[in-house]
Amino acid sequence: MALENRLKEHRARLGINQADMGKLAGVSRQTISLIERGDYSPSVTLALKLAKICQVTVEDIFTYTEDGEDE
Amino acid sequence: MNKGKSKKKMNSYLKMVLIMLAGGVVGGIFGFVTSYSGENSIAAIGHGMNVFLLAVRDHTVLLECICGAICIMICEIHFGKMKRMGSQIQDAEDEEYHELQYHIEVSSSWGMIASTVGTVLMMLIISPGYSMKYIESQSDGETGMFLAGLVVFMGMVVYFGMWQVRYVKLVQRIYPEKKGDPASMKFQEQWLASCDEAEKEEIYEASYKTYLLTGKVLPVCTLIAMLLHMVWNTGVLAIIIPAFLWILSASNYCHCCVTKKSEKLAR
Repeated sequence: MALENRLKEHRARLGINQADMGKLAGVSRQTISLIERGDYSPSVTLALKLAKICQVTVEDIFTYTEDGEDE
Repeated sequence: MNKGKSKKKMNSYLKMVLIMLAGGVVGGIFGFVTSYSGENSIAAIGHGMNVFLLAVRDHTVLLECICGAICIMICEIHFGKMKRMGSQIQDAEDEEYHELQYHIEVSSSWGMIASTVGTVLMMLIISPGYSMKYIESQSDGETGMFLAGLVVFMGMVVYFGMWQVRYVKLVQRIYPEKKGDPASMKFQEQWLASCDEAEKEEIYEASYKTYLLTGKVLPVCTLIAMLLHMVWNTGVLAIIIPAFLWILSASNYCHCCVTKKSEKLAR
């Protein structure tokens, strides 16, 4: 089970840094960094907030894959 | 499926019985060794401990200074490192930021451990002489030395307390979103309230692991205190304290779980 994300790409498209993204989403820069690295799976609320900031759907940022789905 | 379940259940019971038997065997060996090694060797170990405690009592100031200096050095080195990395992190790029954040965490952990160990060591070193019976039996010169030890003790405890306040202030400078007055009784609550969901998850995970460790360490401490009391008459208080902390830890955990569930039920 893995949650992959394209938050970094969407953030780059908006031209904002991790700290600004954190401020907009109401979380710390560390949390944005952890999400981008795939080290933290955000709550539904935070995922929705991030999608709203990036003006895309949650599925555009986060992709859930079952183990062995790609094999 | 039921068969598998009952087999699993049997294994758990069997495992528990084996653990208890192992405990019994260890206790039996301990009893055997202590009874067959003769009163002389038990007395010799007890005497050795007494000599050690007397040596600590006679060199209180020196030991306080050595242990305190080592802990202060660790605290200051890591405080300096945190300060340097804290100024670098503000302009760091994504990858560098992640790395610096990890190193800040490592340095802050070293500092926190050193300040806690320093405070506890000061208490342990002063303890052998911290008795009215001992103080009253001493000459003026010796009492003066003990008082000097007490002054060093207070100085060190104040330093480590202040170091923790400096540490919190520094972390708040590095991460301005972190709130809380380190001198306040409600500091932990204020700090937690300023953490976001990822930071809270990290704190909860670390707290749960600490609770699990306490659940293992306290029963062992209680058992050791019981065995030591049996052999060297170390006192019932040494058994009561870990036993009380064991009950407190388990009951407080259960209380927190029930409170959390009842809050949800009331909504």
